[in-house]
Amino acid sequence: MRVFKNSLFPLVFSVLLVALPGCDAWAQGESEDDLKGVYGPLELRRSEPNDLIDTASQYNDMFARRSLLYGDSSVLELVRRIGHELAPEPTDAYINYEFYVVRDPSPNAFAFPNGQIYIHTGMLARMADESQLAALLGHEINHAAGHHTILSHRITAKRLAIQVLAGGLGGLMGQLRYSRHLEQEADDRAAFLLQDTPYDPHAITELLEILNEDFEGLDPRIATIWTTHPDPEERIEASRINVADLPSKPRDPDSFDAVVYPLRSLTVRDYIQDDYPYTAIAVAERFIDRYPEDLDFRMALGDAQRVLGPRPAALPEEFSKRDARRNLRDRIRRTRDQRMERLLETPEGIESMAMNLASARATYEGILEIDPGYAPAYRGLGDVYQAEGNDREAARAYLTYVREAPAADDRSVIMGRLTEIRNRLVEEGTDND
Amino acid sequence: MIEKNVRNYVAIAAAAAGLMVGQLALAKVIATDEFEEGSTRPVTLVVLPSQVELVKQRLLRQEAQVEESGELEAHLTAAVAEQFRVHGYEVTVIDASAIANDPTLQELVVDSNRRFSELLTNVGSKLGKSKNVRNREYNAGDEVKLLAARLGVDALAFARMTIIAPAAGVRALNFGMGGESSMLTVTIVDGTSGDVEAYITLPVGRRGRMFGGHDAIIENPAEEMANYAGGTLEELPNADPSLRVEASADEVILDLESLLE
Repeated sequence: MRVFKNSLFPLVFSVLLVALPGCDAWAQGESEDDLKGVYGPLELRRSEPNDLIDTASQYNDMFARRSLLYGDSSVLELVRRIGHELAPEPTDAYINYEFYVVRDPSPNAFAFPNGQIYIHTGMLARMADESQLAALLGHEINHAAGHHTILSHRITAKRLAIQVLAGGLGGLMGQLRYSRHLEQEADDRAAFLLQDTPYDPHAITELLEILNEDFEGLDPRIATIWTTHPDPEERIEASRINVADLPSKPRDPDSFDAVVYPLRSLTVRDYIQDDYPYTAIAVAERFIDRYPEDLDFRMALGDAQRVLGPRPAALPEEFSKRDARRNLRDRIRRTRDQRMERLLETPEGIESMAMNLASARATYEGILEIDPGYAPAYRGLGDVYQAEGNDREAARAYLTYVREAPAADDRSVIMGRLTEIRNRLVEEGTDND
Repeated sequence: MIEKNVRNYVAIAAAAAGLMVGQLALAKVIATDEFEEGSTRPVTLVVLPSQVELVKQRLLRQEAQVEESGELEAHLTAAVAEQFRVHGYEVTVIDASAIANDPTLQELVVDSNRRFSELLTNVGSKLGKSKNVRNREYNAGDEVKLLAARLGVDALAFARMTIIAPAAGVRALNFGMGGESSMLTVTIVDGTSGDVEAYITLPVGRRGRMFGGHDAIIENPAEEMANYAGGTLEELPNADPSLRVEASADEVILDLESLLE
């Protein structure tokens, strides 16, 4: 931003603006909302092969370097099978449809202009069946087939002034946000794409409803490209109208479940780890209904109730956008512990803490009633007692856990907690002496 | 009145001298007291694959240079590991292919990186981070502890670097002055407690000046990354196994059983 302090900048800027190719269209008032996808061949201009196509491939390498590409073969096979069923013949040499899964719990997906399409693990985990997956892939395929990124990139030049003055990061990832019109176009075409397949086009509306879920009270919600799309309610309604006359098709959630089940468990754990407890509770409850025999989801529910800590058990009805923005700012400025400590300075925080810990304890005890040998429940009880400051009971529960599950992955973590408790109890004993 | 002015000038001069002396110290090590005195200073550590954001600042936009970043990351990871070795630490480097071949390890690395990035956002947005590190207010959670246990090490080291390089046009608009910046941070997280034990950066005034800028880095990445890592970790205290305090699991269990009785 330093350049704008230069007094010569406006002059130089205006000279450049006139000289820039493509700015004539901007001057004529064309806007991003006038854009329509081009579903035939589209020749790349000037630096676009480098800026858009090569960079897209480089991102794939970067995802691999950062270990973000999910490698489970059955999940990849499912996504790739449906993706290739839906993908049209590429219209340009630079498009090659490829499908990947990215290890990220946020419900998200995105398409690069070279035809590489990525779905987050968190998106797959929250879907119910192959039709919803097909709806999502159909939507993303339309972004690539319609050259939406390239067209949006071109219109960026017309928004030169705004872009420069805002100083925003305008790289390829920044280009993956499309106008309302292109989003609606991708939705509409996805519905019709599904019409000639075994998949139910009504799934697109369900998919948008999943994306519109906001359990956390953050603005923006769990940050994704999708959640920055304009007016989700309007999109849902438009999609509902769009598919109203299309025939429904049979759905098969069981075969989909068999493949994505490990992702469901992983995603709920991710929400707990990433401190999205309301989302974890909502999703865990959904999966408990779906898999009533599965104690892992009950365990995850207990953990999510526990990590709520001094936060209210549910977001207040009157939770405003302003509250949500404040909530988000607070997440950036303060660590989890600092935020919890602040809440514990209020009577409401103390009361919520007691209630949430009681709920978590009831959930863990409920698990032990079903299966007294389910060791993780003792770990959960240990965590509850520790949060209540009851070191002795915490130590008993943790010791039961490490005895019952000597090879548990988190044994070292629990041993760390036991060491801290031991040190406190020794100190306490010394003080009493 | 004159005397008062002289006193003011002396005070200003002393403050300026203090700042200059501060600047002479190449790196800034913010660490917990226990790390400084040695009880939580690791002996064994893993340097996770580093992350470099190389951004070209163009007239119209900022452009992430993804491919070049990849090359720099490999050099930076190696350079940071080498510096730890120079200071006597037993270092293991795990690369992306080793991680990709082990799904459990991949889960743990991704989880740890995500959690660490969240923490780094908190650290980055906070003034007075020295106090917060000393007070152990930065904890990277169970994810990091699980990864350290899986890898069998005392601590994990995270290296993050940002390089912002203005393109020629931007430099011209800026009368050829500045605009270029680079920043490397190396964070040591204890594998048992999850606490940030040390957060090490180059002081602001040295970033992008002491070392080569974007062009030099691209031309000679191995050497420049070695320079950055060497400068940043110069004041890192040496590993000293004799100072580290550890307790065996069996010992803890026995102690607790007798205490609870």
